[in-house]
Amino acid sequence: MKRALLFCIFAFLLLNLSTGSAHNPFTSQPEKSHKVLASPVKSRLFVKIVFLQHQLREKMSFLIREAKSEKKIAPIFLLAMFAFLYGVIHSAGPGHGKAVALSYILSCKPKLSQGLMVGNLVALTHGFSGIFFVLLVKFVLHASITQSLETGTYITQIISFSLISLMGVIIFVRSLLNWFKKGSDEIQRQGWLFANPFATAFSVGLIPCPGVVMVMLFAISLGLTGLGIFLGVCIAAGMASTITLIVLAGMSGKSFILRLSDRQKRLRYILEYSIETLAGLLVASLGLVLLLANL
Amino acid sequence: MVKQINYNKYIVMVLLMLAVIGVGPVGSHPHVFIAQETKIIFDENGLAGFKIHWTFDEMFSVMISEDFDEDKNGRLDKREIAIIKEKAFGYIAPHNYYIQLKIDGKPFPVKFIKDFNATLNNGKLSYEFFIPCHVTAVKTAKKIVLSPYDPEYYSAVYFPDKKHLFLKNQDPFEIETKVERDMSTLIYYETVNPLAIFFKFCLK
Repeated sequence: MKRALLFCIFAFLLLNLSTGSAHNPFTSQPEKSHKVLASPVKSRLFVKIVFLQHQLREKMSFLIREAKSEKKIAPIFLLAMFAFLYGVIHSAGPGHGKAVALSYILSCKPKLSQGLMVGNLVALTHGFSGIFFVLLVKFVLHASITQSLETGTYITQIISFSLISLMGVIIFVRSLLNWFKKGSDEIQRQGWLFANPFATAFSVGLIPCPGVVMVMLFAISLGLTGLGIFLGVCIAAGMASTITLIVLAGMSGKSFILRLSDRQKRLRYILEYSIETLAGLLVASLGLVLLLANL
Repeated sequence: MVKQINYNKYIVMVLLMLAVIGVGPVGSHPHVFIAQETKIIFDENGLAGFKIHWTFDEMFSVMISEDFDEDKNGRLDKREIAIIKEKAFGYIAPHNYYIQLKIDGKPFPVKFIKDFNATLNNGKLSYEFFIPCHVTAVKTAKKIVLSPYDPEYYSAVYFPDKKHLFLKNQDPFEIETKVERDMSTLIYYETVNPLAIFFKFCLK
């Protein structure tokens, strides 16, 4: 019974492919905004989470103003804490690379350290691309933020979804070859580039995080660029902790299922490669669906 | 000898995972927070429409004012308001301007709005607009439901704690209003019943 239950939860984890629109509907032409994929998860707790997220944003706005007017260091500690919490909660929402990070660890047999690195890198790249985007648009291009965000998001989404699709296809094809060659070293080497945590993190985290963009902009509007960057880093760290937790859960789930079949080598072999094939197929499908929806 | 599996460790992991993901997919996404005040306006025949007032959170307000308050004077002039209407409001028209209406149980699509205005007040952005919706009052009660939400969930529209519902020219009519969750509608990936203004009115 426990096995069945855990397998169901694990399967659900694998299927958790929801994503959200990164386009701001107020400033994006309707034809450019993509459809949001429905999630299999239904929960009413989110009302409280939304409320909490709103409160955190309000508190951050207040403290940033206080830091500006009183020129004290004290609000910055609180701000760092709120920004981190905001990142933790914010990244639990759709998108933010959870599905792909999870699929990576399911399909690429990383060590624990590699799995953790992927979780952290995805979030940090996502957060840092938001910081980089704002600095570029405000101080180098001197362009409109809303229009640049629209264009930047569109371009990075196309690149990111293409890379995700390609990564999924390669994982899938490699896993098919594994079925026949039983995981030869040659096949593992061929997939190295796409099993590389940096490549995965780059392809997923490329899209600027709108949450980081808004906090950065607010701080910059008050002349606090340094504080904006610092808060962006704190939000990215918060997002990293959430995604890391999900990656850890995924790795534990996979390891648990494989350990259940320790005594039956053939069953273990089938399970391991099934997970890999399914993960590759899902990543490729997710990437393609998102890519087609945005073209 | 068969190695014992430590279930506790996995159960903790699964609980942690559910804590994060179980509430996740819809739980935390909004990037824009909007406080809505609603004025229900009547004329001599019955319902005339709704005056909607939105106040945005400070961070989104900055994003819009940075781009559209071109002279950076903290106020929006007619030209700036016209640009905002086109480039930072009009695009939500396909979503009924986030105002979902039902008249006697039937959806009423909000196709257009009137009298759009945008203001900046201490850095906070507000939008105000009128939704024409003519419903003639008769002896039997007409039931209206107004529920504000963004179906894509980029924005969270909520009713503030202070008084947020007002009536205008209501004297000739008998009116009952209440604000509660609309149990007949599920939003945000079918997880939540949205808050809605329910009211019914008829001739006195």
